[in-house]
Amino acid sequence: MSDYLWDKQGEPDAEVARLEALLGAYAHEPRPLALPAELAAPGRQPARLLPFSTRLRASRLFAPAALVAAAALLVASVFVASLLLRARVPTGGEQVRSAPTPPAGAVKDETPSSAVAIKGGRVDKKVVEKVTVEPLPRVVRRRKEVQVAATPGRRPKPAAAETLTGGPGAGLTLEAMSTRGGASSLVENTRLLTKEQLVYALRLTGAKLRDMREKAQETQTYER
Amino acid sequence: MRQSILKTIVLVTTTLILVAAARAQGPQGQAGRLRLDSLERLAPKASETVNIEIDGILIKFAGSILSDKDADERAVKELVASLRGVYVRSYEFKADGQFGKGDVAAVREQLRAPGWTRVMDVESKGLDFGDAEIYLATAGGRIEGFALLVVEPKEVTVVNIVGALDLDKLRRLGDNLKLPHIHVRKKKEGK
Repeated sequence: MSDYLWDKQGEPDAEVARLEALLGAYAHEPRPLALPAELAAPGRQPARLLPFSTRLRASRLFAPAALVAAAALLVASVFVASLLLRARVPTGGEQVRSAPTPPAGAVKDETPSSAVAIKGGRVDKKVVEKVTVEPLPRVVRRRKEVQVAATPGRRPKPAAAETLTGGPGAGLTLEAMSTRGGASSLVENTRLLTKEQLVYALRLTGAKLRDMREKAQETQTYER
Repeated sequence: MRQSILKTIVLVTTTLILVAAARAQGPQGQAGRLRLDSLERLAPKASETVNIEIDGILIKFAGSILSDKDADERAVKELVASLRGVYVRSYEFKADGQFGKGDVAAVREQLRAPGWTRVMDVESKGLDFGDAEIYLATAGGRIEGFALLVVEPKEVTVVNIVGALDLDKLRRLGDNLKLPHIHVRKKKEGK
């Protein structure tokens, strides 16, 4: 066999020449890559927002997966938002428990001690009655709510009221009321509760500061 | 395609983790804010418990409902306007020895952190009233937090006010609300 088959050198082989003529149309022809016009123009290529955005755009099959991912992100966002909102409402409970000895002038409670617990906006007045203020987004489930009023001139209802006596909370009056107003009453009660807690905290702080001052004076006298 | 889905899932998961982490460190990252959760274990033993947490929307809410007409409420409103949170934990016990130093150690540890300065310290020194301390958290020359820690034989009280607390306003508020005057004596030595 001549070398014509391998490198076209030497005498042409008739059979090989015939095959060349037959298959020559399918032979490899080196030529530059011809891209479509819209992809070839550099200015028209969209900006890549994500490293895999072009693949996202190119893949039609990805559309359902992208939808699923977007839905998952939406659900997660709602979940996080609800967590954040819940964190801003007093959770874990504002608790105000007292076992006061009623001084003269205070509203007397027949029971030896009473306790008021405010948990997550819910107020339980043990022994005397059980009352509840639910936070804003929740539904009112109990019949009674508690309105907290610290206004000195305000006259509490004798039948269902308790005055925190002794200590820094003296003067705060917890007074029971009905929920005839429904949601608006609930909003109003929450507002008042928040306000009264704030005033209570400031009073407590002030009382403690006064105590500190007195103790500092006592200490100085003791040292002398 | 699988790689793309995987990358999307990783991206979503990372975002969620970052959001959760940011939320988890929120109270700690806030200047002047103390974590008072450790005190809650005292509640079952206490005869009287005060637990107040007003922050975020709620403190703005409280500020918005206060009247401008009433002098007391106006004073409180002015004070609250610059605050970001008011937190109170107070526990009173019927008998001595219901709690130990370890129960308030977590709070004291936070108050030793940079940024907090003890401005007043009253020690019993033989008298029977316990210890009381006032701390201020400052940043950039502004008061960012106030902490009051009272530890008595039958009582533990911690007040933490977060925000630009104006002590002069609080003192004036004391006049209006029949609160006591505040005389903060600065210690000669640091902490």
